[in-house]
Amino acid sequence: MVELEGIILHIGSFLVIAGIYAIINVGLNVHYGHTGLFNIGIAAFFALGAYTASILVMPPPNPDLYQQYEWGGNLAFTLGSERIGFDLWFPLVLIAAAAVCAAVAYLVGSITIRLRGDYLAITTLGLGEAVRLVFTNEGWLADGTRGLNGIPRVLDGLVDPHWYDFVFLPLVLIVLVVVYFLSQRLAASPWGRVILAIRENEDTAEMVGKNVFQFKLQAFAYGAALMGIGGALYAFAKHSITPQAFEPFFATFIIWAMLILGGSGNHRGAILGAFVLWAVISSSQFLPGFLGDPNLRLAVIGLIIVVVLLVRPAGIVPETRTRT
Amino acid sequence: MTEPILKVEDAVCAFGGLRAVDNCSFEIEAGTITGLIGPNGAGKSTMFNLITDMVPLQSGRIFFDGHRLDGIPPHSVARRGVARTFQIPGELGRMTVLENLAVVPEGQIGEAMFTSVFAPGLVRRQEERIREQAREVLGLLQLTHLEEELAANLSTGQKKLLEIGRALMASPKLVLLDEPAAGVNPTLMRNIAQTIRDLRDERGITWVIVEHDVPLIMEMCDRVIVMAEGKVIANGTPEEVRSDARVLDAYLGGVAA
Amino acid sequence: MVINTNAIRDVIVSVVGERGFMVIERAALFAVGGLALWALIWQLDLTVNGLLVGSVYALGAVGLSLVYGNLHLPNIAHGDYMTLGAFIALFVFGSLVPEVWNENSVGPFTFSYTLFIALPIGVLFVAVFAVVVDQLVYRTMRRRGALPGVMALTSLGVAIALRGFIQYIWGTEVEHFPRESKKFLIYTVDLFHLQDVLVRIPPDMIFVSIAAIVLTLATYLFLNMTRWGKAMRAAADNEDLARVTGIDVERTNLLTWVIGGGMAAAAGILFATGQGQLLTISGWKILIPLFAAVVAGGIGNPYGAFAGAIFVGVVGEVSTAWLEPSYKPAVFFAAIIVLLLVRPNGLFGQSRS
Repeated sequence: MVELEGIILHIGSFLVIAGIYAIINVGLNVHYGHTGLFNIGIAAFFALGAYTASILVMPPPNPDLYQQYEWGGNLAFTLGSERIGFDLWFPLVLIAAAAVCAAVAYLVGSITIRLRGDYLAITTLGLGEAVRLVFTNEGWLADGTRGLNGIPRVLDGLVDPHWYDFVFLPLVLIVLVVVYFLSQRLAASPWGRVILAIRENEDTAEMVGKNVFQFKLQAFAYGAALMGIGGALYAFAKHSITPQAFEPFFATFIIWAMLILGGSGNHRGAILGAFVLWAVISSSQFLPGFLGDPNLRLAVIGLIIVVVLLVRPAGIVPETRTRT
Repeated sequence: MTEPILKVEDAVCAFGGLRAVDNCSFEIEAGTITGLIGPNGAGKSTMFNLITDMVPLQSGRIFFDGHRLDGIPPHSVARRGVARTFQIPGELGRMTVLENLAVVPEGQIGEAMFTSVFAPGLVRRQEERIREQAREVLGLLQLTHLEEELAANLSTGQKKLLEIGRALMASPKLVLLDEPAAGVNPTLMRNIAQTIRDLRDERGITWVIVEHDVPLIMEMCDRVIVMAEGKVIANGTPEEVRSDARVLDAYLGGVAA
Repeated sequence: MVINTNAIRDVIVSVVGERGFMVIERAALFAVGGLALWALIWQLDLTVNGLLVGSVYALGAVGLSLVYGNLHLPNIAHGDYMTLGAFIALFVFGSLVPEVWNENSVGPFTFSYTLFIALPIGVLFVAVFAVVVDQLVYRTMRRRGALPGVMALTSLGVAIALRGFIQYIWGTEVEHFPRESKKFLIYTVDLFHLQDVLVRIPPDMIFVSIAAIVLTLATYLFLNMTRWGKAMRAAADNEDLARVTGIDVERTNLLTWVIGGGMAAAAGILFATGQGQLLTISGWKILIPLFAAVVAGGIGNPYGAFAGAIFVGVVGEVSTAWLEPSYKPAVFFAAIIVLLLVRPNGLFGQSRS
C-alpha cells in the first residue's frame, strides 16, 4: 500500500508541474507558434512571475532566516494581505504577476522587437540572464541565492500537507483551462488573424495597414503574462524558490522542447507537449538498473528529443487550420 | 484639369553607388489608369517601394491627396488609401485564401484584444460582413472554389490574383499593381483588365500598373509613364508614348545590352 | 508609452532640423566613444584581461558562427562539443601518454608538450563526431527543409544527450589537466604619470590568444583563398545557385562540420588549459558569451565573430570595475542590445534576405 501511495503522490506532483509548464507553453506558443517571435528568454518571465507572487504574499521576514530580504516582506504587510486573507488574494496575485510580466515585456519589446528573428532571440536570452542575476545579486529584494522559503499555500490546512498537491491541482487545472480558452478565442479572432499574418509575411501585414510593431508588442506582452502566471503558480507549488531554479536549461529550453514536441502553432499541441515531455522526464527516475543513473537519464532525454524531432518534425499535434 | 491624387517630386533613392530612382517627378490624376513601363532595372518597383514607404526616400517629396506621404510608416500609407501588390506574391502561406482577404479591411473591432475577448457578438457580426465582401472579391477574380485552400498551395497565377484581391479588400483610392499579368492566363487577364476599368468608373479607384506586357498596358491605360535607369523618360497618352523616339531607344538599348 | 526611436528622431528633427540632428547624433556617438575609451584606459588591467578572455571566447565563437552561417543552425550543442574535446584530451593525458611525458612544462606555460599530442587527437575526434551526428540527424532535417527553430531544438537534444554521456563516463567532479604552476607575468604601467596600474597576465592566456588569432586567420585564408573555402561560402550564400554551378553542397556541409567541430574541440581544450580546470558543465556555461559574440559580430561571419568575442570579453571584464562580476552576462547582453540598435545586423553583418 505504501508503494501505491507513493505512486499516487508522484502522479499528483507530476500533474501540478506539468499543468504549470502547459500554461507557460501556451504563452510560448503565442510568441513563437502564432506570432513567430523567437523568445529564448522564457526564464525571465517565469522568474518574474514567481518572484512577484512570492514577494506579494510573503509574511514579514523572520530576521533569523532572512538577513537581507526587506523589501518584499514589508510590502506584503503594507498591502495588508494578512487582513484580507491569503486565499482571496490568490487570484489577485496571479493577475499581478501577469501584469508585471506584461509590463516588462512591453518595455523591453518596444526597444528590441523590431530586430530580426535571430537577433531578437539573443536579446531575450540576455533578458532571462539579467532577471536571474538581479534576483541572485540583490539580496535586499529577495534574499539572493538563499531564495524565498515558506511561501504560504493557498487553501492551506484543508488536507494533510502530504497530500497538498491534490488541493493545488484543481486550481492549476482551472487556470490552465481559462488560459486555454482565452488564448484559443484570441487566436480565432481577427486579432489572432493579424498575428498569424505577421508570422507568415510581415511586409504584407504592414502593407494592408496593420501596425506590425504594435501587434507584435501586444502578442509579446500577452504571452509573457501567461508565463508570469505559470511562474506564480510554480512558486506556490514548490513552496520555495531560488534564482537557480530559473537557469535557462529547465526554465527555457525544456519548455521549447515541449512546444516543438507537441506541435507549435496549436495550443492543444502545446499543452499536450508539456504533459508528455514532463511525463518522460519525471518518470525516467523510475528506470531500473543502470538506466536509473541520473546522467544516463539526461542522455536518454536528449536522445528522445532528437528522435521525436526526426520522426515527427511538426510535433505530435500538427498545426491545423480549423476555423468556421 | 483635376487636382492630381499622387504627386512625386524629385524622388531620389540610391543603394550603395547605384541610383535606383534618380530625380523622378510625375503626377497621377484621380480616376485614371496609368501604366508604368520600362526595361528591367529601370526603378519601377523601387518607385512603388518609395510611394509606400517600404524604402525611405533620400530626397524629394511625395504627396497623396494633398498630404505628405513620405516619412510615415507603411501601414499609415495603407490606411490613407494606398494599396499595393508585390511582384513576388506576398501571400500568407499557412492561412486560407479567405483569411488572406478577410485580414485586410481596416477598423476591425476584433483586432483589439479586449473586444475580441469580451464582445464576441459584435465581432461576429462585423466578421460576417467582411467575409461576404471577401467572397465577392473572390468571385470577381474567379477564385471562389479555392476559398478554403491554404494560400501556399495556389499556383503562381492564382497568387497574383490573390494579390489583386487583397488590394481590392482595402477599399483603396489608389492601387499600385506590380506585374499583375505575369503567370496569369491571358483570357483571365483580359477579364481582370475589364474589372479594373469597371472599378475605376464605378468607385473612382485610381490605378498605377507596372507591367512588362506592353500591348496590354497600351490597351488598358489612359496614360503611360516610361522609366529607364531611374529616370522618367516619357509621360503621356499611349499614342504619344508609342511614337516617342526616346522610348524606342531605351527599349532597344535594353535589348541590345 | 511606446519608446519609438523613430518618434524620438522625428521630434528632434522638428526642433533642430536634419542637419542639427546629425550634429547631435555625431556628438552623442563621440561622447559614448570617448567615455568608453576613458574606461578602457583607466581600467587597463581589466581591458587586458578582457582581451585575453575575449580571445578564448573567439576560439569557440568562430566555429559556432561558421556552422550558424553555412547550415543556418544555431548549434546549441557547440559548447558540449567543446567539452567533449576537452575530455578527449583528458583521456589522452591520463591514459594514452606515459605519465612522465606530462611532467616537463614548455617555457613559461603550465602545460607540457603532450598538449600538442592531445590537441590534434581531440580535434580529429570531435570533427568526426560532428560529421557523424550531421549524417544521422541534421542531414535528414535539411532535406526536409526543417525550420531553424526545429533545428536549434534538435541541437539542444544533442547537447543534452552528449552531456549526459560525458557525465556518465567521466563523472561530474572537477577535473584538471596535468599542469605545473607558473608565475603570472606582472607589468606595472604608468598611466600619464597619474596612476600606476598593475597588469597581471597568466602566461597560458597568451598562448591561448595567439592560438585564437592563428586559427581565425587560418579560417579566413581557407574560406577566401582555397577552392573548397570559396565553394563553402557560395553554398552558404545561395544553396540552389551553388548546386546549379556544380558545387557538391552535401560535401561543403560536411566540411563545415569538420571545421566547426574541430574548432570547438580546440576551443574546449585551450579553454580548459587557460582555466586550469575542466567541468562537464563549462561548455554549456560558455554558450551564452559565445552566442553573444556571434550576434555582435554579425551571424555567419567568422571574422566578425572574432571581433564580437573581443567586444564581449572586454565589455564584460571592464564592467567589473563598477558592477558585481556575477552581473557580467547581463552586461554584455545590454552592450549587445545597444550595439544591435545602432547596427541591426551586428558589427560586420550584411542583411540577409
